[in-house]
Amino acid sequence: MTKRWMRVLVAAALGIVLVLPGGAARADSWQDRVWAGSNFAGSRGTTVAIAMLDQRTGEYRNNGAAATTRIESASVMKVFIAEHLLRRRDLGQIHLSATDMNDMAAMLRDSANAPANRFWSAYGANGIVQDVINRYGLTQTGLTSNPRYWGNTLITAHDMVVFYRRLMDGSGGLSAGSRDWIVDQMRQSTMYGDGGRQFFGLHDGLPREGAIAQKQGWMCCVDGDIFRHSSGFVGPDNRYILVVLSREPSSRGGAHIEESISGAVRAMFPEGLIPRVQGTIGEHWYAMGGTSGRLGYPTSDEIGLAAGALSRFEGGYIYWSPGTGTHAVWGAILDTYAAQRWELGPLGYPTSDEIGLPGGALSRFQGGYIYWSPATGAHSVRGPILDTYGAQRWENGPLGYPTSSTIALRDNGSLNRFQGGYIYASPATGAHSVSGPILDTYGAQRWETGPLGYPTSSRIALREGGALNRFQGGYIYASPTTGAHSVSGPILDAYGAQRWENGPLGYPTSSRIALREGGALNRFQGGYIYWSPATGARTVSGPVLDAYGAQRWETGPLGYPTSDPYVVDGVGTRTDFEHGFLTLTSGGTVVTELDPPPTAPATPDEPAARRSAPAPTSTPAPTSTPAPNTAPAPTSAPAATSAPATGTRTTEAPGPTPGPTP
Amino acid sequence: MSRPRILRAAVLAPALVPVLLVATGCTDDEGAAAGGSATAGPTTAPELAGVEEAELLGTLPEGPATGTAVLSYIGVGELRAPFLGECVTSGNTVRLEGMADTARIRVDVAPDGLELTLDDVGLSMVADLTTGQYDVTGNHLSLQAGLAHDGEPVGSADLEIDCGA
Repeated sequence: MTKRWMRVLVAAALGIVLVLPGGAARADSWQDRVWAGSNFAGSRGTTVAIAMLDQRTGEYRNNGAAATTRIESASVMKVFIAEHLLRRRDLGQIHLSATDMNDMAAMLRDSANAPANRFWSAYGANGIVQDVINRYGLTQTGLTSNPRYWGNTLITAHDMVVFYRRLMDGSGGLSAGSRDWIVDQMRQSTMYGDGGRQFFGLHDGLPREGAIAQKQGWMCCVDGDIFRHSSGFVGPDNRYILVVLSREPSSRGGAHIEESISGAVRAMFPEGLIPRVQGTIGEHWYAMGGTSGRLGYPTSDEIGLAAGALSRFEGGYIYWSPGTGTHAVWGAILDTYAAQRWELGPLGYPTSDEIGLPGGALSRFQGGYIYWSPATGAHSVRGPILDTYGAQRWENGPLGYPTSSTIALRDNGSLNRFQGGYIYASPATGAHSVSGPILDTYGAQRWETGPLGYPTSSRIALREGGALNRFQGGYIYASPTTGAHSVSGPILDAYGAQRWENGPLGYPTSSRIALREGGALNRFQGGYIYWSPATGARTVSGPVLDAYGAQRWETGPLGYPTSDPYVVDGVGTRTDFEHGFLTLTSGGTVVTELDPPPTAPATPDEPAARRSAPAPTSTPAPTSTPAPNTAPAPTSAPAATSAPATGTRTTEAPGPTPGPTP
Repeated sequence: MSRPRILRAAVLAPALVPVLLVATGCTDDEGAAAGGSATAGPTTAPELAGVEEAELLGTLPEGPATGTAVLSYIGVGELRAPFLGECVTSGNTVRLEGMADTARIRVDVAPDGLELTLDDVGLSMVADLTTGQYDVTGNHLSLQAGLAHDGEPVGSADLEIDCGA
């Protein structure tokens, strides 16, 4: 016996690594599983040999020298008999009757011995095994020392994996039809076979597997030992080949060794199935707690993707790609990821697992992030919007969590809504946030589809708690006392010329108000700016504004202002209008002078004539601002376009009146 | 002097059928021929042969033994060969011992049971004989019984032997 085992070990050492890829075990989760099974059986005093192969990935693992140590095959070798006979039949060398086929089916399904005895003696005994050894390259398999005892054929767990793999891929020489017939019989293995229950090992150890094609072996009490072997294919696609061979002193009884071999399989796969995960995805899953973790049981085999791989689990997915590594995605974030076409969409592969945040969570992807919080749900943020979001301290900043994913807008623009505002982006403007009252005002003007277009700045803090957002079509100012209002076009230019909110006008108190004849108005804390196509943008403020209002603003006899205030030496400060002018005298009164109604065509010197009209009667203005004593001639008064002055009207400026309404 | 005795055939037949059928493959063939699976139900611990079988074999005469032996072992294979040996009586024990081809076979009949020892090339096994069909007619033994070890079936024995021939 010693010499025989020595020969076996030498043969094993020479042949093992040459046959199967990955023959040398390495420390990984699959190997850990194999050792767990081996250690379980070993702890019970049972000698066990374990080998397994994932036919999809080619990963092979075994429990070291035990897997290459010969052991009596018992009924496992009946699959050799079936293979040999079917191949000879396929080659036309023998004829197998219906009875033969039925016997062979019973030999495989029920492990019936009588057919095996008959076939063995009728078709060559050891010649059967030798044929299989030769065709399948079974370097560790040996013939029985006594040809009448086929169960003493010597096999190894490793060689049985080789046999099953080559049976499946056809490289052993058996036709696909005959192979399928054998595997089908193995899949119909009965619970109770020849002399005992034959669901120990694979079936009992993998109760959650729906498809097991097995060939079992058991015998007692050969040379004082009892044997239980379990081998075959696991999975509906026969993906996994698992071979577990065991032996122990027969005095312990059948129940003991059956618990050893079934327990070994359970120790390997406490999930009750072979998880369809491997490699880094598998290791990631194990690190997350395996079936006890958040992801739970696998629901798919590994799925190859264009640039990576995916495994699905009850509670989420794990993605892998060479550039991103392995990361899990689950829950609402996974749903949002799915809505954006998984890795095929703009987000690409995940680059992080879910990251817990105060009040929410985050998963990072190649093309952006997905945030989740109970109040907001899960939404993606990507591209320039993500950068802007980050510049505002992500969810910890004023924007908080996103409340929408990225929304496509006109001109290749986009938008993300957040708890504290929006971020708009467009190729022409970049990404900028808008929030608070400014956002409301922006919305009132139809967002980016309105006259303001896309924002060109994020919120800019101003004095006294004010703020500003710039847009393609203007600005929106906001302050606690004035609210948020837009200013645009020439009025904005005029506002800027007066140092914006820092100038005498202060913050706007209205947005642009459309007026007659295409004109417009913005009100400010310190006055109004009027604009019309014919008159440009002009500022009116103080007592003059009051007087102007008393005369019904631009709808009154004065029309639109045609100049900003200017000093008239000796007279005061004058503002020209389309049909007259208002002068704030040094005495603080506002004098109105109206052009006479037109009676004749205008002449080129009309403006001079109008400006030389007699001074009006003095009327105190309702303000305390002292007016200048003299009204010098203007130096830069705009040219009048209306009819020449033929008369004047003088009015006293009343108190402030409401301005025009939009 | 000797008379045919058939022990427990009627009573034990149902219990023996699975064992015998497993050993001979009869049910497998029939079941398979019928297109169905020969699935057996849960097995029960085989009942071992005892005093009655021992007494019956004790009536065999001493002397040379010839016949045939068919020993089938579950998961192992089958020995089917002419038997040549002798029947030995010693006190209240009987022993059938001889060779069948390369195998040495010995049946020890003790007052409380029967034990069959096989010692062949590559296979050594000791098993208890279960109840079954035991016939002794004159100096001829016809034995069809199961083999068990530690309470589990391990095979079957079919012996047709003449003692004292």
